[in-house]
Amino acid sequence: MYATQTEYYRADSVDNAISLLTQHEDAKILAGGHSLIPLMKLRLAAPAALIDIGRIGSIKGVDQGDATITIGALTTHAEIAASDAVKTNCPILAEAAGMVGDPAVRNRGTIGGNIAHSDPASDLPAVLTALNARLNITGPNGTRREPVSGFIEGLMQNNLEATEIMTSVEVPRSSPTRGWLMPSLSIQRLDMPLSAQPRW
Amino acid sequence: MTTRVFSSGIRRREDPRLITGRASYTDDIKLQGMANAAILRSPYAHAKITNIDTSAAESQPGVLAVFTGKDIEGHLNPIPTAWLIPDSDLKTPDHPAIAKDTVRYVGDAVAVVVAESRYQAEDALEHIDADYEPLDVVINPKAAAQDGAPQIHDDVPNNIAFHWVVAGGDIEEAFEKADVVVKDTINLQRLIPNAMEPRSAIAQWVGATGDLTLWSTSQNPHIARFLTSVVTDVGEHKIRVIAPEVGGGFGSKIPYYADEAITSFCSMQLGIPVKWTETRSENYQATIHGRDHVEEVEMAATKDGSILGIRTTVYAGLGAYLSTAGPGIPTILHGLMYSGSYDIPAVHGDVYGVFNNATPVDAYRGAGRPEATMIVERLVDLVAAKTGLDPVYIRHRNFIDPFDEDHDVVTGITYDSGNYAAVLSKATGHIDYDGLREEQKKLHKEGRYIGIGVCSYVEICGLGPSQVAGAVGFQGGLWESAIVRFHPTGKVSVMIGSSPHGQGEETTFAQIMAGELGVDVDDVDVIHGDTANTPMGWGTYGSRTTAVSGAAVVMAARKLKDKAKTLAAHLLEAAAEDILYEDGKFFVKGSPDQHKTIQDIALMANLAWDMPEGMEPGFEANAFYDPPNFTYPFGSHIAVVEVDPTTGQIELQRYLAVDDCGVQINPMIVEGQVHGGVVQGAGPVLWEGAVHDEDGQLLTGSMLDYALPRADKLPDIEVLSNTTESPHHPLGVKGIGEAGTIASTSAIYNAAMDALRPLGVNGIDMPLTPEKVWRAINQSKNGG
Amino acid sequence: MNVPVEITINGKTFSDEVEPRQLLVHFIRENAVLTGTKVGCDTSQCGSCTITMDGIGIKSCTTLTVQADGSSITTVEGLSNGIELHPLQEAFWNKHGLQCGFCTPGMLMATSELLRTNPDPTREEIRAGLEGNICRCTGYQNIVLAVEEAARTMGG
Repeated sequence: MYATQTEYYRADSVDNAISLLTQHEDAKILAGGHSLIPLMKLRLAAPAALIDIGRIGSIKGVDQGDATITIGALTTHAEIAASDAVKTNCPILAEAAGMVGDPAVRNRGTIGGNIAHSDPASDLPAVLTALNARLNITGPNGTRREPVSGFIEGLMQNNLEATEIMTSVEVPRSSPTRGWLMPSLSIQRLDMPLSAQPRW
Repeated sequence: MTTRVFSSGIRRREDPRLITGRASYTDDIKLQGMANAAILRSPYAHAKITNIDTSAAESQPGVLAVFTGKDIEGHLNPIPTAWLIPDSDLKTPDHPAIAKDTVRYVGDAVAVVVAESRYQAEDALEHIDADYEPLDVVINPKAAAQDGAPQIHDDVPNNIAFHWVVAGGDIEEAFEKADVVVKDTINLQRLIPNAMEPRSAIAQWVGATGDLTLWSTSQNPHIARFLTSVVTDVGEHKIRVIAPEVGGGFGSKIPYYADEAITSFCSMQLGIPVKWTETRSENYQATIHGRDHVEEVEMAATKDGSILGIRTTVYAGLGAYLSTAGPGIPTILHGLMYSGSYDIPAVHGDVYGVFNNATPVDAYRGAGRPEATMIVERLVDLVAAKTGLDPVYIRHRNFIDPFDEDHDVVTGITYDSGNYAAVLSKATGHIDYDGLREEQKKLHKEGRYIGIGVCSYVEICGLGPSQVAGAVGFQGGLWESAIVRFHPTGKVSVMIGSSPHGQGEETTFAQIMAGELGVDVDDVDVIHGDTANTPMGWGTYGSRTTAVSGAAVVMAARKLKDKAKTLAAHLLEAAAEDILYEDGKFFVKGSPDQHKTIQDIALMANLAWDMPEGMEPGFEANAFYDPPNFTYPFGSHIAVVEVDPTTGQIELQRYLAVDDCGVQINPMIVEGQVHGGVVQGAGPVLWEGAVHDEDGQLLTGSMLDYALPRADKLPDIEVLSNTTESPHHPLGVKGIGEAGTIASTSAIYNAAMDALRPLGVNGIDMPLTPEKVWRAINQSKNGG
Repeated sequence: MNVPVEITINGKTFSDEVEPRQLLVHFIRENAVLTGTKVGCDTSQCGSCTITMDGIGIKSCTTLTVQADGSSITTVEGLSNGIELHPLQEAFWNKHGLQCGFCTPGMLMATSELLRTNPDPTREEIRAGLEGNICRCTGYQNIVLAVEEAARTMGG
C-alpha cells in the first residue's frame, strides 16, 4: 500500500520525456499508472524516478486515416471503447478495450501503458497482434515502427529500450466484410483470461 | 401513527451520515500528536527467530521506536482464548502478542515500528534485520494431526488442541440397520472474511491518570475492554473502548487481536496516541480466517429414504494459535446441529481441533453452522441420489413435525419452534419445482445441464443462555442489558451493550420503542459502541443483537410502561386498574379525553413535582436480559445453476430464499441481511478459497487472487419469508444475520452436483472453478 | 524532493507540498481531511476509493497526488449540493442500498460515473458497471435497485 520514495518529473513533450529518460537511470514512465502504481504499492517496483507523460496531448486521441487508425499511446481504454472510429473500423479492439479491468480503471489506463507492461493476462496485445497492428516508438535516435507481435518478447518483457517511449499504435482499417469472435474465459479465481484467442 | 412503524420497512436512521461520507470509522480518526505503527510480520510459516536487529530501523527518518518480542515481556500477557470447551482435553498454548522465539504462521508479528507517518513506518520495516531458521510446515488440518507432522506447539502432541465428541442415540445400530450408507469427504476450504473496512486500532495511554482509551474496529467493545485488561494489566475501570463506525465484521472483528495489544503497548511506552491500520494484504494474513475443515462424513438410511443416523470425523484447522472464540466454532456451534431439521435418531461426531501453520481461525458468518448444514444437506442429497428418491421428497419425509415450542433433538439441545415443511413447500411452490425438473429433463435432451439444489436448514443463534455459556466453556456471559432513558422533553436515549456494524439496530430498536411506548422513531437515539456510555454487553455476532439486546430494550421499555401507568393513575386521580394504554397514551377507562401522553409522563417524572408515595423520580429503566434458550431460525433455499461442459463454467441462474426468522421488525432490513448472507455463502462454492503452498505461503494474498463475489456475476435473489414466532422472545424474534450464508453454500453446491451427476461427476472440492469442473467432467468421460 | 500541488476538491482548493509517492486517496483523507473516501484494498480491486476527477470516475488509490495537480475533484462529501441529497444518495437510502456503509462512498461515486456515461442502464448494465466495486454486506441487490431508482429520478 505504501510505495518507496521516488523522484518526479513532468514531461511536456515527447522529446522532453526522452531527454528525462536519458538523464535519469532507473526511471519509469508514468502514463495512467494503472500497471505501474499497483506494483509500486506492493513494492514490487521501486523506480528511483517517475517521468509523468500524462499531459502530452500530442500522443493522445484516435485519428482515422485512409488505411489505418492511429491511436495515441496515451488514449485510455474507455476512450478507445467509445470511439466511433474504432468501433466502425476495428470493432474487436473496441470490445477488448471495453473489457480491461473495470470502468474506473478504463478511465485511466492507457493503451500504451498496457502494451508496454506486456502482461500476458491482458487481452490487448493478442488482439492487436491479430489485427496486424504496429507500434510507433520514439527514442533519442528517432522513431521506429514495430509490429506488436515482434515487440513482445515474453512475460512482462518487450524490446522497448530504456530511453524510448511508445507514441502511438497503428491499426489497419478492416474490411467491412470480415467478422470476428473473441472468446475470453476468465479463471474465476483470478478473473484473468484463460485464453484470449481472437479469431479472424 | 407510531405503532405502525413496527414491522414496516422504514428507511434507516444510520444512512444519512453514511451516504454523505460523514461517518467516522477508526482510520478516519486522528488525534493530536498521534504516531503511526507498522508491524513486521513473519515471511515464514514456521521458523525459529535466530536474530533480530532493529538498530538500523530505529534511526530511519520519523521513527520514534521499534519494539520486538523481548520488549513486551513483563508488559503484555499472552493473548488469551476465551472459549474453553469442556470435556475435550483442551490445550491452550501461549500466544505472545509479538513472537519472540518461534513464528508459526505467515503474518505472525515479529516487530513493530512507530513513526510519525505510516509511510515512514513502512520504510523503516525494511531496515529491520530478522534472521530465521525455517522449520517444517503443515497446512492441511488432517495432515497436521497425523504422526510425524511438524510439531507446532511444544506441549500439544499431534497438534491436536482438542477432541470433542457429540453423541446421541445408538449410532452403531443405525449403521447396522441401514439399507443405504452414503459417504463423502468434504474439504471445506479456508475462507477470508474480507469485511470491507480493514481492521484498525488507536490507543491513547495517559500516564498521569492511568487511563487507556482504545478505538477499535470491534464487534464487541466490552469484551475488548475485558481482554485488554487481562493482557495489559490495566484495570478494567481505567479502560475505555470505543467502536466508532465499524465497516462490517462477519465475525472477523470479534476476536481480541495481538495488534490491539501491540498498539496499546506502543502508546503506553511512548505516552502518545498510536494508530495502526492493516492493509488488505495484511488483513489476509493477520485477520482470522473461517472454516478450514476436513470432514469425513456418512449417513445411514433406509431404502425408502428414512434417515437413521449421521456420523462424522472432522479435522478442524485452528490456525497457529487459539483465537478468542476459536474452540467453540467447530464444536458447540457446529456438532450440536448435526440433526438439522430432521428427526434423526442417532448422531455421532468426533471433532479434532488441530493447529496448522496458518492464520488463526475463528467465527466467520455462520460460524460452525454453514459447515454443519453442508454436511447434513450434502448427505441427504447423496441418499436421494443413491435411492433414486427426489431430494425434496426425502426432506419432507424426515422433517420434524411443526412445533410451537421446545423440541428436544438427539444432540442434546432443544429447538424453540419450527415448521420445516411449510418453508420447503413455500419454496418449491413459488419456484415451481416440478416444472423445473421437467425443464431440466428437456434441456438435458438438448445437451444442456441445469441443476436444482435445495437446502433446508435450521440454525442455532441468538446467543444465548448464560448458564449454557458457562456450561460449554465460553468465558463470558451471553445476556445483554439496555438503558432506556426519557429526557424531560420526551425524547429518548436507548443505550445498549451490543455493537451493530451495519445490521440496522439504530433503526429497529427505535421501531421497538415506537411499538412498545408509542414514541416517534425520530425521537429515539440508539447509542452503542462506547464502553463509557453504554451498559455491559457481549457484542454483535451470532445473530444475537435483536434476539438478546433487543429483548433487553423491550424489557426496559415495559418497566417504564408499568411506571407510567402508575404515575398516570396518580396524576389523573384514578385507580391504577382503570388506566388503559394505547399507542403512547395512558387514559382512564371510559373517558379517553382524560389522558396523559408518554411525553407528559416523561416530563412529570423528571420534574417530580407530584409523585405517588414511594416512586423514584426520573423516567429511566434498565434491564438485563438473559435468554432462556437460543433461537432457531430455519428455512429452505433453492438454487438453479447451469454448467457449460465445454468450459466448466457454472452460472448461478436463479436463487430463492424462504426464511423463517420469527417476527420481523423491519422487513427491508431482514431482506438485506438475506441478500448479503446468500452472496457470502455463494462465494465459497464458485469463487472463494484461501490457498497456501507447501511452505505455508498464502498464494491468495490479495483481492487479485482471492475472488470475491461481484455484482456482475450474480442474479437477483428472490426473498420470501414465513413467520413462526420464537416462543421465548418477548417479540417473537429469532434473528436473521447469518441464515443466508448458512443455507446458500449447500443450496448452490447441491445444485451444481445435481447438474454434474449425469455427466458422471459425483463430487468436487469447492470452489468449483471452471478448470476443476472441466477436469472432473473429462476424467469421468475417460473412465477416470 | 517534495512537489507543490494545487488540487480543488468539492470546490475548495488545497495547496500543499507532497511526496511524489503519495497516493491521491491519502491526500484527500489526510491533507484535505476529507475522510469519506476510503481505502479498502491495496490492489485496485475494491473501489472504496472511487472519486470523480475532472468529471470522470477514477480510483484515487491508483493515482498519485502529483498526477492530480491542477485538477478538480468531487468526493462523496461533494455529491449533494449542500441543500438536497443527490438522487443517488436518496435512492440508496430509500432502497437500503447500504449496511455498514464502508463501500458506499465508492459505490455512490462509481454509480454516478455509470449514470454519466449511461443514463438509462439495464439491470445487466448496472451490474457490469459495478464490476470495480466490492460490497460484502448487501449482496449488491439493493444497490442495483437504488441505481435504477436514481436513473428514473434523474430522467434517464
